[in-house]
Amino acid sequence: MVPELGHFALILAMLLALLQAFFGIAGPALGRDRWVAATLSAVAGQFVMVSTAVGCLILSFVNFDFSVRYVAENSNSALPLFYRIAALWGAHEGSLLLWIMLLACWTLAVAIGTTRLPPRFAARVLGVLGFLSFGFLLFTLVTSNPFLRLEPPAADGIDLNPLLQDPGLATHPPVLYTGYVGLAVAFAFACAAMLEGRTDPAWARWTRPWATAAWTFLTCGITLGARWSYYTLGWGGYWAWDPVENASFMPWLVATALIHSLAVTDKRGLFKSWTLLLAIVGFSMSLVGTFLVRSGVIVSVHSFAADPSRGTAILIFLTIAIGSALGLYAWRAPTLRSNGGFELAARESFLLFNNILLVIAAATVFGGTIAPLIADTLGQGALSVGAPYFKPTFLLPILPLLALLSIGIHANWKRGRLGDSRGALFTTLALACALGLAVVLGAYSGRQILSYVGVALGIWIILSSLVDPIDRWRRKLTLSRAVVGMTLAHIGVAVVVIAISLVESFTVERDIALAPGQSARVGSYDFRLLSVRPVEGPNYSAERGAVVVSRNGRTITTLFPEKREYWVRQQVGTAAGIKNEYGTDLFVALGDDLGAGRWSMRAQVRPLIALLWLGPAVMALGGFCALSDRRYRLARAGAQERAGVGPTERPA
Amino acid sequence: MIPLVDAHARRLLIGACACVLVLLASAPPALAIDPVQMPTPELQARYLALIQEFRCPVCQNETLADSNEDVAGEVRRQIRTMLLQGKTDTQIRDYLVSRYSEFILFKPEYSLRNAWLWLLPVALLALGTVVALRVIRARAALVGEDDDQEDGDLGPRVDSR
Amino acid sequence: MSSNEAQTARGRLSFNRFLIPIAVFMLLATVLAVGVKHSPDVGVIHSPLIGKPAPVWSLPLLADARRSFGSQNLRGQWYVLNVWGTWCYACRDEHQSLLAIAQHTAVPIIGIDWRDDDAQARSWLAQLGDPYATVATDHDGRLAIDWGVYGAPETFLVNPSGVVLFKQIGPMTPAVWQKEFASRLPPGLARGHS
Repeated sequence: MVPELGHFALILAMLLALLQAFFGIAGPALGRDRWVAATLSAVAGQFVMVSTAVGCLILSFVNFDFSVRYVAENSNSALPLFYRIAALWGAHEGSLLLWIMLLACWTLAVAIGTTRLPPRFAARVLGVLGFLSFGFLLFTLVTSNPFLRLEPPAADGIDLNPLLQDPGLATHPPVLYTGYVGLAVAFAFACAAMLEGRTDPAWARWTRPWATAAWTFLTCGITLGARWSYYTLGWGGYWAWDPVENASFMPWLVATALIHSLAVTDKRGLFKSWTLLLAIVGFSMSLVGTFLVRSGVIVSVHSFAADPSRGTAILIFLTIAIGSALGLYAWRAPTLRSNGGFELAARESFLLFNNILLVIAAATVFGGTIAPLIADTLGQGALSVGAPYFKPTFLLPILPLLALLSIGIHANWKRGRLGDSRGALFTTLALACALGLAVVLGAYSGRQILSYVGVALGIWIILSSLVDPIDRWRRKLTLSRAVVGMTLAHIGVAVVVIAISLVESFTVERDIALAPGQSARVGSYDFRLLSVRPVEGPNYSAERGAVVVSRNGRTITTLFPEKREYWVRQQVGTAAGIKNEYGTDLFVALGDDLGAGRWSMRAQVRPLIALLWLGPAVMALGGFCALSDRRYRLARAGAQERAGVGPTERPA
Repeated sequence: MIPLVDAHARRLLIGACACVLVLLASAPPALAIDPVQMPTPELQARYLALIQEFRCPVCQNETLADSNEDVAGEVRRQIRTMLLQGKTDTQIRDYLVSRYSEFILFKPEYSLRNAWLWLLPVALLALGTVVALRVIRARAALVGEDDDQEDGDLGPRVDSR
Repeated sequence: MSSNEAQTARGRLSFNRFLIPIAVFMLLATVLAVGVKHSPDVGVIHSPLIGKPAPVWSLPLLADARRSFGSQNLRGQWYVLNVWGTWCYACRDEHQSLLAIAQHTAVPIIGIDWRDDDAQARSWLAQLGDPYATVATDHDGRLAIDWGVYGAPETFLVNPSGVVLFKQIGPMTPAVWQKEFASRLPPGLARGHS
């Protein structure tokens, strides 16, 4: 009964999405205001239907309904409640439903948040979102229906993949998808602007909060994923340049370019076609990422079980969506003219380089990711691309970008007037170089040039970002949330850069074999095995080790790594023992029983890796901060826009 | 559903994968804890670097260092043997490529065939710089001396992003 | 430039410029489409050994571990090398096909028992039938690595000059035998179909 209801709700949702698309696009085009108004009803209806479908699936999981194939494939009678609910998005069909749910949520938010915008424009935005929803719902119902039944029902499920039985599952996919899907909003705003033939840059101001929000969620989602793989895959790596990881990183890079480009278009009406293109490309990256992950065209640890027919279907949808948007772009972009000027050292100039460098980075990652496909198309046989390719080629545009950040932050709009900031520039640079040396040479006795460059660049960014806010504070000027947000976000980036430089260069890792009582030296720490004992979990049995970590004779902590065997799937999983000591992680993962009580294990000391999690948190904080400023403005500005006043400069 | 592959061929492939999967199913994911000590630190360093460079032939995108597959373990052992025999890194690389094809490399070879891949970032950077400078030059020409009046609201110091 | 010329020039340039994104995208879509078409093959390593001389090998016999057997015993003749193990489900599937093929062809099928237990292998063959002219054991996988084997079953066809002509990844079937193996053998040696 419940699955049927869910299935039915999904079909209704698809029809409502189609209506939403129709009313939203045809209404404004034909001047039918009743249709324009009807769009909102369609949005609400679609949201209710999708929520119902999701609710039904959750209920099926909670109630152990193994007549539903998806539940039987991803659950089990011994699976704890928490994971039964999170299993909703544990595999392909359910995660698509999550996509659709989040798209419906964003659509609803847009419907509520754009009530002060010109109704026809808002309707167009919702119409485009409706088209996207329709596409995903159609694809889901035809190729990936989560409500398919098993005849006869399974006696018991085959359990959720043990790799996914972790709190990370509850947070990483939903947050990441929220960001992914959020880029659709910017895409929709861009399409609406193009459909309307808008040449004024007001749409940029309207789009900004949505783009910033999507960016913030993407930042959090990617970081949650990195942290999850760090402690769950047993080898302490946080980024492998795996195709699926890249699929989430490329939209992030483009989204970063987008939010900066929107700033220029908003402020000075420049880069209009650039910004439009970035909005389109950002979401296109999300779509292409979805395709890569689910179609089986690439080899990846993270990819969903693939099916060429699904791949074809996604590709068709993708081609229609992106092709239409780019076609609109080719049609409308030539009509966008702007007359502003700016100097070489102006803020606009730095942001132009920012955009270009970020896009180059995204293009490089993209090229490397689909390189095997390209080689295949050219008939060149196997080509395999991994971290040794991505690391140097990614750094190529990013290192100059980081340096430009520290300089450009002092630049004024239009006339850079960098000369005024000469003092600040040189002071911050000198300090950064000195502090960088102190950290790398002093604290870590390191001599790698790249780690020094990374740390110095990071410190420079932090110092440079603080110059203006401190100056204003001293002059008792107000600090708008937008400025605070920007400052925090830049500092967050710098912290990440510093963290990566340190962790990559100064991590100590050793594979050791110990019997109880024996110890080994890793870096400046001693790891001593106490015992390895069997334990039982809710749906697994494990060997749990107790490892004491000490330094200079002083005991710091005891770590409890586990090697688990999940009963149902008979799959082995590892849970590493990790403790953070003043920012540095002490990490132990259990390996194999070597007999006679000896066990192999991997011990790592990862210096200041806490910064790697802290940085993105600061970035996200900055994002939310900036968001809170924008909305305030939007409400006040809404009335002015409706009155037909064009874009004007506003005081802080 | 659109069948893109002959069902028969698909079944064959699934059969082959089944055997590989038998190996996979019993293995912990991505965790090759191999307490190996080469006789000299120099060899140890070379060994650790080499096993990061190669793909585990049966895994989904893992290095030899990270995979617990038996095949990966054997290839690692082969690498150790060759290192002890005094072979150079290039010889070891060539040996593995001659058996497993370039698929086993994570770093694409510097060859004419792969030239586009390695030159892409450089070419993009050059192109990007040229484009940026042209745009800036065009825009800089539009900044007149008399615009200063309307610059008032752009502020001496940056007020906004 | 007069303003008219400037506008036309700019107009022409803009027209071209803004079509670039969609052109690039069309290229990309083509690449992705090809990728989908070939996707079942993703991860399958095409053997670089084909057309090259087979590696020299010598392994202990399953029947008697003190004696060894290898490529020098097979010089100057066609042979089929089949890598298998009792732990491999698909090998069990192909076993019937191998038995049938062995009955009809004069080409020896050499079995390589990969990372297996000798006693278990012997009883497996006794139970299910033995299609092999000879079985050698590869306990530590050296031959497997040398031949680029990464899963079982895999089957190779080697000609009298010692050159590898074909590698079958996955279970052998009569259809595959006909299409890929028998077609490469001189007439009279083949004829392996059930």
